[in-house]
Amino acid sequence: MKYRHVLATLVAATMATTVVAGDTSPAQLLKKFEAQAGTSGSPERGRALFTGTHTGGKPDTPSCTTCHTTNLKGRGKTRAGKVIEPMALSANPSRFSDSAKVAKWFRRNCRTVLGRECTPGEKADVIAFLSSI
Amino acid sequence: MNQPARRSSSAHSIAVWDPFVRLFHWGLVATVGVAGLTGFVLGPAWIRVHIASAVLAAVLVTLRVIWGVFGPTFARFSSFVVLEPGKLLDHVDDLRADRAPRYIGHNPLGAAMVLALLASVLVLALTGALFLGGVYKTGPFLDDLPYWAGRVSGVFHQLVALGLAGLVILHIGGVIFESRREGENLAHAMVTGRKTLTRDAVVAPRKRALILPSVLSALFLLGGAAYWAYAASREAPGPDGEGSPRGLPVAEASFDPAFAEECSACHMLYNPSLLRAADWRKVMATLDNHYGEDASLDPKTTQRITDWLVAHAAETADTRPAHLFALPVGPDGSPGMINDTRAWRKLHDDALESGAFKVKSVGSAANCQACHKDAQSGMFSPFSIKVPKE
Ligand code: HEC
Ligand code: HEC
Ligand code: HEC
Repeated sequence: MKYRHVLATLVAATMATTVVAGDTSPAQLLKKFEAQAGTSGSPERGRALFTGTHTGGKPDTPSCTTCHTTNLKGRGKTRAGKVIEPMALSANPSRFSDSAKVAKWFRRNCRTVLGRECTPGEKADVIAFLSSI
Repeated sequence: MNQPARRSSSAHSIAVWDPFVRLFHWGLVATVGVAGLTGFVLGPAWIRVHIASAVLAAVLVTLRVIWGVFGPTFARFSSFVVLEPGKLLDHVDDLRADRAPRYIGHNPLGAAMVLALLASVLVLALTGALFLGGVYKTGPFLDDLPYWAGRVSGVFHQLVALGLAGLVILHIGGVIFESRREGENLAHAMVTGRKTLTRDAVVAPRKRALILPSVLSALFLLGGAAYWAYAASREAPGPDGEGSPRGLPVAEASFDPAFAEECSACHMLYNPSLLRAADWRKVMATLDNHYGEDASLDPKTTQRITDWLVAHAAETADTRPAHLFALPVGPDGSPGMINDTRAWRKLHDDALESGAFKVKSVGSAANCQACHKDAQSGMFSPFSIKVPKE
């Protein structure tokens, strides 16, 4: 009886922490965006988007790599000099675990670099790419 | 052994300046010299040395004042002839007519100079401490002294410092003049303590040094001052503690969590006391076009952070940075940067010229924290500046 009680508390506590730390996973998000787009995420298209140079956005940030750098397993740096943890899931497993955070930064960074929001297909591509390296 | 001339002169010489007066004199030369050099020439980077030498100078002067009351004959203020009305002008007239006597202690002009020098040092120490309290919210006057009062003290401090520099030059000129006139090197006399006794010399009536009252007053005055300064400086636990005195920026520990989370993603946290409420409203209304990036937030969070920033904006603080910066506005109505303001450029002229901002770990002029270790607290104290080398 007592053990069960303790166990239940432990399980509840673990679940609570998972919810706080993040409410989703890269695989779940990938599936969601793929369903919205009706296509499957492509690491190649994701690489082209992420490392390519774009013109539609703000002049100081022509590429995702302006901040995240081309070494995606290493740390990046904002324009104001703040460190950004690695983007590659192999180097930073905590990426894509909070849907609000993912939505916020896709919205901001696609507008900053491309001058528009990314489509669900593009988001699936980026996640597929960052999961593959 | 074989210098009869000297022997005979030493036979007629008399002890004038006691060891403390000599130590005081040359100690004051050193401390005021260092304070002047650091204050006038070397600038804010030397603020610690400046304050240390200034405190030492003030301690020396305090001891000299006590010695002026209880010390031996020539140290006593009561033997300063200048205190007798009319003597100063009489002395000037006598000098003009070339009939001024030799004084073994201070002559009336010299005595007036000594008093003026002592007073200047004390006034400088006081105005310096008031400046630190009002402008930088540090030191014994940190509590309740408004910024403007600190600024006024600072201006006064500079004027008195210039005045003291002028007095020092006059003093040296006077010593040279009087040494020539008397045929005795007075600066040397301040080293040996002895002067030649001539027949016509004016010698003050003999007084004994009262050691015990001197020591007791020194302990009482310096001990009291030290205790008061210590207690007063500690009254406020600083920006991180509870019960901060009026005018300190909101403590880092009390930052709104949404602000701390969202506004630190791309750069250091800019303390709300750096900008006026109107500037924060402009910054927060244009987050989707934020200094060349999209930093947009959902409306609820935007509102929450705006309200918090406005509630702790520059108008609510009395620190130096809170009085310095008003953001310029771009042609499209978007806010400019702190480091584009004239006030900022003026403060950083030297650092900009020296290439300090090109150093890799600085990255951007907006990365205040790279050089100002206390940037997020909003204090920007001159004690916390450390420019990185690479
Ligand atoms: C101006 C600098 C900058 C640029 C350019 C930029 N990012 Fe980011 N990005 C950041 C910062 C800062 C974060 C948040 C810090 C963190 O999560 O470590 C971030 C976070 C993200 C996240 C959130 C990851 C997570 O943990 O959930 C994604 C996704 C992302 N960026 C994608 C992109 C893409 C795609 C581009 C190009 C279209 C891009 N970024 C361009 C600065 C930038
Ligand atoms: C997406 C990244 C990003 C986020 C998030 C962000 N900023 Fe900024 N901010 C910048 C950049 C880039 C600059 C310009 C820095 C530079 O040029 O070095 C800047 C500059 C500023 C400046 C001007 C600094 C100066 O030196 O004048 C202020 C003030 C400011 N941000 C406030 C905020 C506030 C408040 C928030 C939170 C609501 C916030 N920022 C969130 C990217 C961001
Ligand atoms: C590269 C290093 C560096 C950076 C970055 C920097 N500063 Fe400074 N700052 C200095 C130095 C050095 C001084 C002292 C200048 C002097 O008076 O000689 C100074 C002085 C100041 C002072 C006056 C301090 C005083 O003595 O009262 C303020 C306020 C200030 N800086 C604000 C800022 C702000 C705000 C930022 C960011 C937007 C910033 N600084 C970024 C180096 C830097």
